Amino acid sequence: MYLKSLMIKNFRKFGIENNKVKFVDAKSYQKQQNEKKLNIAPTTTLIVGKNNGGKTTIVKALDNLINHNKDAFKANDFNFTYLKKLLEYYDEIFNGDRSSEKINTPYLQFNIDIGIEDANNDLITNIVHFMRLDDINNSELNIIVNVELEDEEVFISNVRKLLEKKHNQTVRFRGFLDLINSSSFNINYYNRDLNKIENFKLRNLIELRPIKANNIESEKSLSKAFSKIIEYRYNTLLGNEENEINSKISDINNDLTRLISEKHTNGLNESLGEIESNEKLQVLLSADLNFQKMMNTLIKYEYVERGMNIPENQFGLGYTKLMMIIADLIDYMEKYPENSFNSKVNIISIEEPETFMHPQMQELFIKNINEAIASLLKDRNKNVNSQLIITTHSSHILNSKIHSGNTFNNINYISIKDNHTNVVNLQDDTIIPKSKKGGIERKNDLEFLKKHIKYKVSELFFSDAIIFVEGMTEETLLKFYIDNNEKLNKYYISIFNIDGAHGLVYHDLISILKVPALIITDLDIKRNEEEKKGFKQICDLKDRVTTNETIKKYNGDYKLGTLQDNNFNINNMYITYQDKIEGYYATSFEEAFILTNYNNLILNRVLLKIKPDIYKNIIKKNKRFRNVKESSFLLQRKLTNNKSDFANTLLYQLIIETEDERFPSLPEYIEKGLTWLLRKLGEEE
Amino acid sequence: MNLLKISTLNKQKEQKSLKAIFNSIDKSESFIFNAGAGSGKTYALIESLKYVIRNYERILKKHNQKVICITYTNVATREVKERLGNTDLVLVSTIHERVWELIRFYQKELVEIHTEKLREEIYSLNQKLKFGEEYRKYQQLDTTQKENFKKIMIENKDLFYQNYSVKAAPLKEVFHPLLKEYSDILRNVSHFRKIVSTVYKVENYYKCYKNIKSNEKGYESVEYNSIYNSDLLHNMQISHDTLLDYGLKIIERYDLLKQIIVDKYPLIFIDEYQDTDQTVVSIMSYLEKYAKNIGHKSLIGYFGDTAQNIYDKGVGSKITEIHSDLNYIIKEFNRRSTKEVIEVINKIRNDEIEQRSIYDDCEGGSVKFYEGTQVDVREFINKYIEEWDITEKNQLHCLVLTNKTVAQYSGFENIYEAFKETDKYKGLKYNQLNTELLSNDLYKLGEIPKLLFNIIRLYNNLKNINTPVIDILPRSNFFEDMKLEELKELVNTLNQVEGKTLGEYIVSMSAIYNNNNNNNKYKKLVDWTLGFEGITHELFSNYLIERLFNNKSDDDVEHANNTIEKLLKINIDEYEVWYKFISEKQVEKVIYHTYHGTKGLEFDNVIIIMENAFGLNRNYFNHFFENIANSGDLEDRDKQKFEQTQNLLYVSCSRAIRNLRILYIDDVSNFENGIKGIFGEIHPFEKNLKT
Repeated sequence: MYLKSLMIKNFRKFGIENNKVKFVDAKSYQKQQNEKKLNIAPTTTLIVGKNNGGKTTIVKALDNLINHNKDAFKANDFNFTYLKKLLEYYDEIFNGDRSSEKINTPYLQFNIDIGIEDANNDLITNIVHFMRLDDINNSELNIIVNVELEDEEVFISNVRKLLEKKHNQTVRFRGFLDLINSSSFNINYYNRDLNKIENFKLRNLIELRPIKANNIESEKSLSKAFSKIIEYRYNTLLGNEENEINSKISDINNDLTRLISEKHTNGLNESLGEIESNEKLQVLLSADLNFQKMMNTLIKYEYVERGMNIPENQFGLGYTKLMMIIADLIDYMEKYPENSFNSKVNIISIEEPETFMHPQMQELFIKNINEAIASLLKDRNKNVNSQLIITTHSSHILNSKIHSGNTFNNINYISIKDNHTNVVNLQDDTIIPKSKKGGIERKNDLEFLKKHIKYKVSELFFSDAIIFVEGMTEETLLKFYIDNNEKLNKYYISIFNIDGAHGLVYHDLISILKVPALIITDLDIKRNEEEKKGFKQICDLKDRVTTNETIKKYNGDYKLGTLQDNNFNINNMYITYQDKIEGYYATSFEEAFILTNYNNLILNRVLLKIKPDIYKNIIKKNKRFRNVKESSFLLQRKLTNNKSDFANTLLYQLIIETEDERFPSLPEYIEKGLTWLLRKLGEEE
Repeated sequence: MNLLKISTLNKQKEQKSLKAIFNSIDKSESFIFNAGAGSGKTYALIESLKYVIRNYERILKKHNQKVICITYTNVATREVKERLGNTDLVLVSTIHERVWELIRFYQKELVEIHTEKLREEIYSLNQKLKFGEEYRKYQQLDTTQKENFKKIMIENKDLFYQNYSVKAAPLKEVFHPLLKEYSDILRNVSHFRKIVSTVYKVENYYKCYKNIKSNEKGYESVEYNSIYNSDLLHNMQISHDTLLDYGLKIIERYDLLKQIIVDKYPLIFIDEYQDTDQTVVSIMSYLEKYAKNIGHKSLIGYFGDTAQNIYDKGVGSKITEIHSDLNYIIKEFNRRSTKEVIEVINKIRNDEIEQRSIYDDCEGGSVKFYEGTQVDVREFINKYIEEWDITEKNQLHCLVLTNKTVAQYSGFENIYEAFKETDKYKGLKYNQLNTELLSNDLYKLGEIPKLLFNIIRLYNNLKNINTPVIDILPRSNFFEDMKLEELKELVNTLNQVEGKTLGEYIVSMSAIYNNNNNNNKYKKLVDWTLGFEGITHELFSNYLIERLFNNKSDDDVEHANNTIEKLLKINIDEYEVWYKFISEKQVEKVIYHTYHGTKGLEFDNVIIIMENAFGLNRNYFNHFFENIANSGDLEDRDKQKFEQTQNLLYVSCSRAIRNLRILYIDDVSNFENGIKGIFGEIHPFEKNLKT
């Protein structure tokens, strides 16, 4: 059995949609169980996202349901938007015409899917009440957990009293919260058909061991962690010798107690007798040593660094943390008997393990854990029947997961949309949809994405917005322009420079992640050899075709004559390309830039600097900027091999330019795109 | 759309009758709330419960007290729970479940009552053996002979049951060698069977009695299980009725128990009191009187309508004799029907309750009375299917008098006909078939119908992949320590059971059962479904014969065998139709009900098919219409009969929300005035004539 998904409704930042967190799928889980080789990466579920998005809430929800009682839920655990709406609803019911016999009351809902592997020996004792005949073959069942009022009628009549007081909004809402806080809630379980299941407790079915972010409580933490490991190894590897040690410990206890009692106890009691008669009061001193205490206190851990012994408290925090996580894992696994039947789902959650770890260590985190556990458990035929959940905001750990597991599966990306937590379940199948492409091509795309993403992970998952560009000129210039844009520079905007056809591979992922993405592409107008030689300026798109894959994809074909607008807007993606500028259609960014700024001094200066002969030839004696405009395609062709030079010189000029000179403008299609982006980002807030 | 607007004035008036209830609650005075059909009785019940929760929550919680609410059916239980919302203060359930919860922990006392019951049963059986006409041959034996005879028969119990349904000659052949000295007793085979059965019963009861006395394991507690409706007294298992009897006895006898119940449950509400067993009312009366004596608070609230008492066992208007000093509260609003329907039903009940609609927009319904003949029925229904745009969503509900018609129209006529031929349900017991084969209330199903119901439920559950696993055997400890693979295997095994007819299904079920594999879980499940162990198809049909037939002359045996054969040969699909009818899972345009079967329900469109006769009674509805004018002068039986018919007519007509049609398929010329007084004009139903 394993936890397949968890849907969270109305709890904290979670609303009523995009609220489903998915965990490892059956395939990887089963594979893991069948393979002797230990690799926790595929069975690890990653919950990744920016701060304050709701990552911790997910584990908190499970922890509350499993390890705490019903009182764990307070008014603050309800989604406030939901409560506000509920209060408005009461207002309507009690004061308006609307009447209804059954009145809604606040509730939280957690919808849990449990997956069942094939050919499985798990006991069904805990789950049978939730199973339908169908579930036996579908290997899945559904548990609905509602945190609901113990007494609805009492609550409703209290709300009525509250509303009668006609407080202002704020006071009323606070009163409502107080009312929720003072009401008792029950945790009720329902099956798929919403029939109530009595006598069930989630803790009978799921066991959760949360490993918290701040588990380094004292300087002795590491010792304790090592003790656990040593104790485990001691028990495991020594077997019978354990008794021997224990009997030695008990001997020591006896000897010490005798010694203490001879030398101290009697004396102490004599002194005490002076104050109070010994019949009433006596003290008894005895030694109390046990295995664990011995490990904790008698063994000293030191870290040997270049021949120097360094004490524990000087040991790097990162290593301490890693060791402690490993110790916790070992300790947890140790509790499970070997080769016995399972009737439970076992979950370990590790919260933000990246704290105190330097990037390379984060990158290797999963690999390290794997190896440590494998070596510690090597001598035992232990059935590691646990699911691991890691919450993180480290792009390195995310990378590590993608690459050790070689898949995007089992990654939940958490962000905030419209004030609510938005969960995105990454799956290879949705990132590169199966339907669209043939097998091999799809595989290649996926492989490309995995490799390419390695350097882009943090941009993709943690930026506020992404701008895709197709050349280094745009990349260089846009960075400058955005930096200088007082509105846009408040956001964390990443710029991806990737050629159109490759950029397309990202589009499904982008649309799943819902990050606002501005995709700046080019018309890439196809010219025949003759036109190329003659540097033909193009002022009409009729009968023209493009070589640009992005335009082809969204326009349906290569024909430019059928283009409606100069952009495609699909949800969170805005694809923009050149419109007619000064009478001409530009084929690339450079050309569009030249067309837009043909009479700008800075641009002209740069052109002169990079291509003096060509520029002079164009501008001729009359020095009419119009000539630049008329030769935009020629200039763009000539610049092909000097793009970097062009971009950098332009940038240099822009930076050193004094304020009184007019800056060249961005082409209109990009300005429009940026306007869209700004609006989109504004909506997000 | 109509039936939506309620004026403020009417709202306030309705509130008044609720206030009367609330008043009684505040004063802790027991009451009886009488309100006509469709008056929102359940609404009043829910509001009363809410009132208690609102105002007494703190004090009830402080004393760890709860409110009991008793409903008439499981369906009603669910409805009340849903409408009430979550609360820990109110326990909603049917009467049997509640009574069992109240007394089950007093096993010492229950076993004592059970012992008495056994003694009584043994006594009365012995009386039969001593003086009964059919036991003459046994009486003629001397004491030693009797003992010997008993010994031989007890030793050959299996043999006896194996030959339970054979004819006289082979039976004699089997037992002659064993009973040489007493061959006379075999002369009348029917009597012989009776004697032996009684001997076994006495033996069983006596054994049980002894086991209780010697504290044998398994005899220290009485068991009640709602899924079977049979007394297996010697197995310490009791039926629904016996449960209520024991409940009454134990409460009557033990003051401490009375006090525990009263103190723990200071308020008890009972819905549909009129059809509640008298025993229950007696229990309530005892509790309340006792509470008064010791000065504790106790309130019993009855919700119902005397005019809707349609079951003989129900307490009906006798309630005030059994439970005296009740506050009498009535409500005159109708929340269900259109004005046109209300006018008619008021005329039928003709008592102090004259309903009027609570809605301002209550017009727009229609009631018409037609006269026709038996052959018109189909045509009549078809006419209204068309006229009222009847679909599976907008259903037409057709009330007919007899089971036969319901069975016939609904599609399980063969089952009905076969049952009608059994001793248990033929002749005077014919009326019982109404309830025991067709009741939507599972508690009312007879023993064999319930057995078949259990089997078909299993069959139907297995067919539907959405069935909760727990429903195939609703006992949680069955699944304890079961592995997923075992469950899979169990379901696979169950799915191997197949058959076109019930008989084939049973043969298949038995074959797998006796196939000696390690299918213990399967065996347990089958045992539990049937209520007995070790199924073979012979055992099954003998079981049916034994429970459905009494006398065993040769002709009888043949008849019994043939009837059972008929039952077994019926297509299992037909049983499924019956099952869906019982459990109200039908998806059809027209749903057929008996008059009795519609209790508490309401439908937009209702057609009632009516005739003179009902059951064995040739003059039923005509008797009613003929005597309307002079009903005050009727006496005793006639009066009782009149009231019975009146109640039944009232219940059936008041189901309609908008449209009500009655088709009377006998000649009405003798009592036209009676009909016109209620329904107005009598329309002749002419075929081919479309309105």
